[in-house]
Amino acid sequence: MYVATRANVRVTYMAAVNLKNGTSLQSAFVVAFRGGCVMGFCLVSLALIVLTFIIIVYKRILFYI
Amino acid sequence: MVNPLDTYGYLRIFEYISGYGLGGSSVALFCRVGGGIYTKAADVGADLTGKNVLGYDEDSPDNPATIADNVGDNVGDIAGMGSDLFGSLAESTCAALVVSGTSDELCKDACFLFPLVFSAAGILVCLITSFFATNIMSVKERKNIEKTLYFQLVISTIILTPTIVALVFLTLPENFSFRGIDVNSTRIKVMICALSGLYSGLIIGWFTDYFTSNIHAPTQGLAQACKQGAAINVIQGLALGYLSTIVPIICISITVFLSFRLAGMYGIAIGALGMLSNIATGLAIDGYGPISDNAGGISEMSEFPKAVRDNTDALDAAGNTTAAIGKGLAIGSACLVSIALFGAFTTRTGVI
Repeated sequence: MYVATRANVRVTYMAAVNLKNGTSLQSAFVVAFRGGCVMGFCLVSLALIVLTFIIIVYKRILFYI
Repeated sequence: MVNPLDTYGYLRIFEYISGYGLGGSSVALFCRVGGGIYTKAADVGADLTGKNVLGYDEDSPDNPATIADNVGDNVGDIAGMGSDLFGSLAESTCAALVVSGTSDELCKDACFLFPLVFSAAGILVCLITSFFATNIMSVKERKNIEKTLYFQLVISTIILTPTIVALVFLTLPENFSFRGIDVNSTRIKVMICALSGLYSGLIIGWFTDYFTSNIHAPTQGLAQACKQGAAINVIQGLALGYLSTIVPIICISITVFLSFRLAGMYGIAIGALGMLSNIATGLAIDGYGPISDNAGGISEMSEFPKAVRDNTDALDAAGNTTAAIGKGLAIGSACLVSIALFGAFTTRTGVI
């Protein structure tokens, strides 16, 4: 959500700054999509990393005490 | 002291770990319900006071409720949707782990890690896919936006198909069985389960796109009905909503039936994971919607030229459709995950 709120402003900025040279739509789209990508990849990677970490820790605790 | 070769030790670990899924879904409950209700209430409140009572434009800077509306978009559609899918992913992985804990063959060479490897491969494939949107299929015209976003889902599904085949042959043993259940699985059967989940996710996405996109017949028909009055609009919108659930239900039923016949409850968990394997792309196109929506709000409030607002509106229109695709995926996978969790429970208690 932190990234999303900042991406909001950047999309508007890209749409406004590139208005003269005609790439307003494209650049705004790319920035908005990258904002979405950050959220998606962060979430899935965090889920996997935490799960892997928990499995390693529990395996240590249960098997080697 | 538990013997490392004892598979009951792994079963115990996975039972403890299934608390991770419970935590993920209880956070999802608060984020999804609280955020979802807040965003709808703020949206309707802003429209009621601003548009109807005072006669302002949408997202007008004179209307203080606009801020609440834009915050609600972030809270409901980004935090809520994200935590919902996080809960689904964690739960389906935990369910697959618990079920695989009852199999001697899967626990022998750490083959129980297949669900984790599967999700990790999904992240890599989605990374490759995201370059198609930003670099190769870049958006030149307004009508291309929706197509580019939808093709993200198609491209990731197509790349994932050979990846799943390779992963199954690399990581899973040839034959495996589960204690207490009369199911003999081969890796080919598990592969079919994963692929059926993946493709039913794609079909659900396509069907949601058909019902919510403004270039297809259902939405245009609804727009025609609006001409005759508000009541017709409400009735036909409700009817369309009910109609749009037919194909997702059939897809999920086929996936559940096929997976259960082929690999028992492990198959259903793998089918749910297959639907969630390209979830990074799903979340990307889902988070794109509220971001472009709020960009429109910010451009209106900071009094940019009209052309800026037009461009962000075009982005926003496509974003609404793709957000609906993400919702379809989230709810379809949650349906599969609930059956997989029930399966993990019955496998453990030995009810069936």
